[in-house]
Amino acid sequence: MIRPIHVFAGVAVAALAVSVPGQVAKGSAPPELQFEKVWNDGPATFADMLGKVVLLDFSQTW
Amino acid sequence: MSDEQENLIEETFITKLGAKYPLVKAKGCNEKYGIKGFPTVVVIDANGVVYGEGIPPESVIEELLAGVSLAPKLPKEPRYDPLRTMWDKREHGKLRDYLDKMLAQPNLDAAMREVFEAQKAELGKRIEAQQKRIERFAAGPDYAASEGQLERIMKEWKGFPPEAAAKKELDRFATDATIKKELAAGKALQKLVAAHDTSKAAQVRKLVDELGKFRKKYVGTHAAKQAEEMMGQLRG
Repeated sequence: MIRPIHVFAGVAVAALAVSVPGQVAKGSAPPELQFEKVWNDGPATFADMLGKVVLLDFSQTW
Repeated sequence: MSDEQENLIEETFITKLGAKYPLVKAKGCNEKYGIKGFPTVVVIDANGVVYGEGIPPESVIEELLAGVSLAPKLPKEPRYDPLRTMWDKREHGKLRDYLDKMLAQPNLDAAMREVFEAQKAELGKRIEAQQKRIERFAAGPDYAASEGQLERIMKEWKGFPPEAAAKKELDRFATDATIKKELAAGKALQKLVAAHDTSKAAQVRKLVDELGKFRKKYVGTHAAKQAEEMMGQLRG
């Protein structure tokens, strides 16, 4: 979402973000992540996103 | 999604950019996903499989969402299929009436009563959640995005308190001069970005130029700040 995580359907859409390529393979299982801190009612754990369409937006503050 | 310090994430995304969407700090996320540049968007479908990278077109998003159930946890028995259907179609009024009708039956099976009562409680929770969403959208600063969300809430929660609450905020949006200015700027920015294919370098360069002009034209607005932020991201 991103910017951070965008969870669809629950989903919030990031209409304005643009993206550059990463390396995660299409069709693969996404690597599980440990969430250390969550804001804005985000999912408490990675597993909480299962069953939803999710946009993971990897961002930096700089 | 970021692996930076909490205070940096809060200050940048929540305080400065006014983010209303879920934010997560996850240690090592960039390494695990092989992220080489920012921002990078990874899409995961409802089956928990990586769909691809980059923000998909709206038509693809709709397609992905078509396979998602909005129903809360329900026993798999066919007798609960009507409930599942109503949740998925966002027929909240019909759902409420159905639950009330079923729960009014004195001889209702105990197991079913328990499920229906839980569903009714879930409906109440979702109504409360909508009210909170409305408050967040109403606070801005991204009024262009908020407007679309409020319109959607009005439609999906017709006959419930969120409908009136969302309408009240939309009416305010339509009359408040400052918000009207923000709305115009926000929509102009959405249109500008949508007109460029950011997977092509030439289009990215053109967009950066256009964003520079946009920033000057709409100086002082939240959209201008977003444009500036995007320019920084696009330039890498």
